[in-house]
Amino acid sequence: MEFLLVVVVKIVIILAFISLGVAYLTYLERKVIGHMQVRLGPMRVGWHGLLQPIADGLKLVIKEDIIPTQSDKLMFILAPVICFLHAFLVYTFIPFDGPKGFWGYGGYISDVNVGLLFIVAIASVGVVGIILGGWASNSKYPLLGSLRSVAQLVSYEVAMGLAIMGPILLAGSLSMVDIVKAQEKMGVWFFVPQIVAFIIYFICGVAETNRAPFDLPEAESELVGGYHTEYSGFRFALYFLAEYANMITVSAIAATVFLGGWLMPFPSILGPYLSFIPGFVWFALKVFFFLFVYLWIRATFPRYRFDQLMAIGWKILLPLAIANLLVTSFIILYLKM
Amino acid sequence: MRMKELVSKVLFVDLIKGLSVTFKSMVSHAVTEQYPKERSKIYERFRGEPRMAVDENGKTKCIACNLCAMNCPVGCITVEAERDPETKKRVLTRYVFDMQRCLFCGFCEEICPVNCIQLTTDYEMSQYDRKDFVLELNELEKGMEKIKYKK
Amino acid sequence: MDEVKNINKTNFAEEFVDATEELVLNMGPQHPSTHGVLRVILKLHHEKVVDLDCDIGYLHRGVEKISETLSYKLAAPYMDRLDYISAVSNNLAYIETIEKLAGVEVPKKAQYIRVILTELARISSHLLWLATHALDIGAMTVFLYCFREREEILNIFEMVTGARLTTNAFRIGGLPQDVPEGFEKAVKDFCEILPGRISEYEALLTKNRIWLARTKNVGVISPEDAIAIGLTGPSLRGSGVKWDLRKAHPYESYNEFEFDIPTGENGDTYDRYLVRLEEMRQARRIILQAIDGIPEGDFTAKVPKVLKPPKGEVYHSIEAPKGELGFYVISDGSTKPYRVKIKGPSFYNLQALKKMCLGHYVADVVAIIGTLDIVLGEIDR
Repeated sequence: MEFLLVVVVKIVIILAFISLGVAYLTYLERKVIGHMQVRLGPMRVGWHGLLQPIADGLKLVIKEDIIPTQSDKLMFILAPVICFLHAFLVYTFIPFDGPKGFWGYGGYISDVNVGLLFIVAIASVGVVGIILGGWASNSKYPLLGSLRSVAQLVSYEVAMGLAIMGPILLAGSLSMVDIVKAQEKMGVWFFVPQIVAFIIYFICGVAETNRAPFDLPEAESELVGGYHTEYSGFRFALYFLAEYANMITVSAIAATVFLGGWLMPFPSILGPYLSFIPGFVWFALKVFFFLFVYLWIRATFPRYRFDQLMAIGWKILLPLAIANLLVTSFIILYLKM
Repeated sequence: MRMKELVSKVLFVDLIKGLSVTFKSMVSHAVTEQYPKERSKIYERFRGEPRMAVDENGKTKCIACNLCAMNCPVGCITVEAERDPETKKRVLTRYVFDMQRCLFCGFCEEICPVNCIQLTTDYEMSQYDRKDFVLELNELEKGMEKIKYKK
Repeated sequence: MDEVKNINKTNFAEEFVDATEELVLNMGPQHPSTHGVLRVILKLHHEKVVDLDCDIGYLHRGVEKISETLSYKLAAPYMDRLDYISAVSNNLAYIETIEKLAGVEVPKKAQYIRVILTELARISSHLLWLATHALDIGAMTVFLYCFREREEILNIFEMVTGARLTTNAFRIGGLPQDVPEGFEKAVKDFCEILPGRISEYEALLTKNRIWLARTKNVGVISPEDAIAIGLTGPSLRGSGVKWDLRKAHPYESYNEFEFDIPTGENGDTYDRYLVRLEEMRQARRIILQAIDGIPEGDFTAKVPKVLKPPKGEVYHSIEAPKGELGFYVISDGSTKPYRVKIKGPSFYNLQALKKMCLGHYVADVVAIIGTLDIVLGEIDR
């Protein structure tokens, strides 16, 4: 009984935390990109615009709900929900803190021995929502946008999966907690031995979440709004939240698999002074770093063209990921012998 | 040469150069201004809201010569006048300025022989109603009634 | 049941191939990157453009006809609104045509100040072009950086002419009034910061692999085609044709200044980008020469209050930021022109769109519309 209660409390806390995080990620994005563009970003709602995400959310919820007459209504309604649901489902398996974290209750909802595989699998279901949304809108721009996203997902999922294979080989486990523990044991975070995989993973992650410079499914200068052109009000908000939740997911996986999750950097030097900081703070900091890079990239780079995106995925990233996998396995094999 | 290019491509030199520019801008000061609170400097010659000048007795300076109306490309000025039977001078009876049509070209201001009509540096001219843009002489003399933004 | 039978009969793969048909996509008139109200009807095969048609006229105001009903002087503010991004250049072209028609000699001082202002307008127009072009391709930060510099130019315009966008800067015979105090300093300050800012844009774009991938070999047009279509301005010079009216038929005092005409080699989007960036630097060079050499004298010539040019017709054109902007004016000896015909560069440059776009992707159409630097206010007039 106590076990169930703990899980429920954890779910509530994490869900609330992630929802808030997603909302404030939009604020962060507007602020960071604003400052990079020598302006200030939101400043009017609350102190330095701090209440802006709440105002935005309220606005989207009260807006009129428009369902185009020519659309496939059931799918049109279902699609954003699918997208949203899977974006949030992933957090079940992400360790925010170590097994001793969260005051001894364990810093994760559940630790499955196929955790990482599960996360990747669920995350890729989300794209069904995008496809359905684009298709059900029965409009040309969303159709093109959703077709692009299918192609993008298929080509980048492969390279991404192969890239995470490197750390998995090093850790010898698919469990997220074990991967972090392996990094603790090894004394060095996996992004050092797996730098190639790390870069490939991050590029694929950006592409997976449809962010600049790979934001083709929703390239506003070409396809107006991409797959969500016909969406408005809270259905649009669901898509929007899903996109940002996916960003956090990708960052969280990167932080866990490559940057040692809840571990403290340089424990031998900083250990005595900073040991009072709980693990989830370190984890949040690492996630924040990735999110910042996301926004930084968005503010700086132009957008790739569709065929170029495909070429990068299949001709550069995929062979590199395979090569990285092979080299890693050979080295591990050699060391074992 | 090709080797060098390849190395710089693998090390993302071109991209890092761009990233450094945006990062530098992020830590520098913003150049925008928070509009209703801060206002930028308006230069003296700015052609904004029209005003009609009055003389020291509070009477209009306008001599109803109609030059402004004739020199308006869009015809947004209407001057009505009648001849005073005693002094044989034209006296202004009605002056209408339709701001919806105004181009703010400044021809009226330039041509006015008595410097009566002037385009001021006021630039906040929004109204809720179209008829509020049609200004009569008294409105032109004391300025348009403004709707202020309240937070 | 019949349908089921039919499917069984035909080869399924064949059916599938037949089922793919061209997708007609309406881009615009309300689309984020058609730079106004241009409507492009695209025929797509997958995402490749197989046919393209432009539909214009959504912004038609009848400027040519309106100017027939107004006196020569009063039509000038309308010309600002053709290519509203470089209002000063339009105004100059119109005013010069009328001066040529009426035989007015403009004092040297006014000419120099006109050169400074039009070159500033060229920089401002190119900045706005770069901003929107980069935004179309996805580089959103360049957009605001360019606007930051453009703001400085608009401030100078406001200081001199009294308006930021539709400046109505010149009058027949010269300037409406002398330049204010602080003008020289403001222009020089701007020229000081400009090269650093341009190198900032270059750091973000010129060598960037994504920018190169998106602009190299996109929208290529050969010099022969460019001339045949009637491209002018940077779009023509990007193809390697060294044609600039400032050198070919110097107007104002352009023959007194030293400057180069940058040209491209391949005639692709990237070359046109480089040409425009270099033009900004050259414009700065001209401004610096002009500001140091402003002669003493009147700012306007004596012009009769009611202008009645002699009977006749005249064509005059200048090198506007977007290309050759010409005015053809017929006078019947009265106070109003008999006919005003405007030859705007954007309209001619748009004709190259089809040639440049065929066989490219939808995303390239956006880039090509951007590189042609069209303004719908001038296309539709």
